[in-house]
Amino acid sequence: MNSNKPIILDVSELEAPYPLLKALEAIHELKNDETLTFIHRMSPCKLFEALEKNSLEYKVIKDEENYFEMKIYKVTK
Amino acid sequence: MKMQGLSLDQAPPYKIPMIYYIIASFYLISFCFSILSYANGIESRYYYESIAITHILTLGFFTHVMIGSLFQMIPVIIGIAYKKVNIQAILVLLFLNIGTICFITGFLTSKKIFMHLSSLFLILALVFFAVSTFFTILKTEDKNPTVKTFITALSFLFFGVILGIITLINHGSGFTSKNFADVHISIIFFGWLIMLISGVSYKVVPMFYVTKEYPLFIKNHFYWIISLILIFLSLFIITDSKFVPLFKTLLAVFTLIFSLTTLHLLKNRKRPRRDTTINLWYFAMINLSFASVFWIISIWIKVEIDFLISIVFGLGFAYSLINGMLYKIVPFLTWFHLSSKMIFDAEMSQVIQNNYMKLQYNIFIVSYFMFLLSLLFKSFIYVAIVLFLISSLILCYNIISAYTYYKRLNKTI
Repeated sequence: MNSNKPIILDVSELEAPYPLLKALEAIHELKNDETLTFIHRMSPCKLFEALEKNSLEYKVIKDEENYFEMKIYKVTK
Repeated sequence: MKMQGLSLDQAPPYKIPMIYYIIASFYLISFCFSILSYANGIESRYYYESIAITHILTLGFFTHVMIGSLFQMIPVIIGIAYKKVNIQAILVLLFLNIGTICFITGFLTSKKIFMHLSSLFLILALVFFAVSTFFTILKTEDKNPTVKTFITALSFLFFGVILGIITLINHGSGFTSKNFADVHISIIFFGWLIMLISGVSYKVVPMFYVTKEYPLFIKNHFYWIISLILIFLSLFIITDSKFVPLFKTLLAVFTLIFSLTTLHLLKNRKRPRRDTTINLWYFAMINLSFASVFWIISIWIKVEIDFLISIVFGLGFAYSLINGMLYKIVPFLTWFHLSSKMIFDAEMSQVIQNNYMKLQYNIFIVSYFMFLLSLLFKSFIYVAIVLFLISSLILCYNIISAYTYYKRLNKTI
């Protein structure tokens, strides 16, 4: 994961449902050698379902008041 | 951080909240006709006609929108699905409508049989809904401030309905129900309406308006402070205690803190774009602030401003906010359900035409000020009602047009 190519998606200034839409687009296009850094102002509860459905791994970096960050990447088999 | 176990399939069908919203808008139109018929003869809020008209708005419009929204929002926001949501929603809708119609008929015709029938059906509808939703929400592992606030609001709905029914059953039987009526009003308006609105606001305001989160002291403490004040206030009202004015003031002060916090968040949002829904939120929160101040004035300086407070709180705050929420929730729901069916042509901005929203909002604002003017010049009441009727008809049209938009796109599969 650490050696993966980083992609940053900051949706912290978008109103619902656009953060989720942008995230879905981004994870759909995510390649094996890429890591998506997802930045939002709140925990995106509905995104976790999509990540599970698409068998993607994620790691929450920060989950604070007004700031949420996580890394999303594909499982390398 | 906990994960939510929700899939889109857990949400109830689109038609469930929409049926509630459409019926609510019909009640709103009935509300206009009923004021048109009875407004001139009403001198006090305890008049039968006044009680009937108030409940067309509260049971007919507010409650329908709130329950319809909760059936949809609980699975989406909390992440827990209702069991057999279709059956529950239809039964609640049926009993709520029979209860509401019997209530209005009972008070407009002074027939006790209808009042007693309405007691039965309103208990069936509202107590069942409160209990069912309470235990549905209780299943979530994540007891965040919104969940705690919802649970508190539902508890107050339960007690508020019970107190309302006690008042109704004992009505005119030698037992003075005025104190119970006052407790019922306090609990329903503050424990249920404002409590629920605060819980919804914690989620909806940052999500839809790109604001910062509500401060933690509000999210973590508002619900239990209001609860505590309400419990003491209820006991003091029933026992005619001298502490009633003090506790009513405390209630008003904390409500003012909530409304000013919301205004502050909206004013400092990251993307200060103006639309009809944000205007309605602003208008609602400004009116809630004024209503709180007017209420404090009426408590300590013996001035008779009940009708002013009713207009500012009822139309200026509660109605405006629900109107604003409808304009956010309906397009979002329509898009959400169409997207979950893999229909990606849906555009949230196309669900309800923006110019119709604006038109409805502008007419409503003018009608609101006409209502205020009618307190000084009685003849303005008819202008106010006619304008509010036009605004309500446009709102009804807008909700139905969202439903037809959904139907049209859904057929494209």
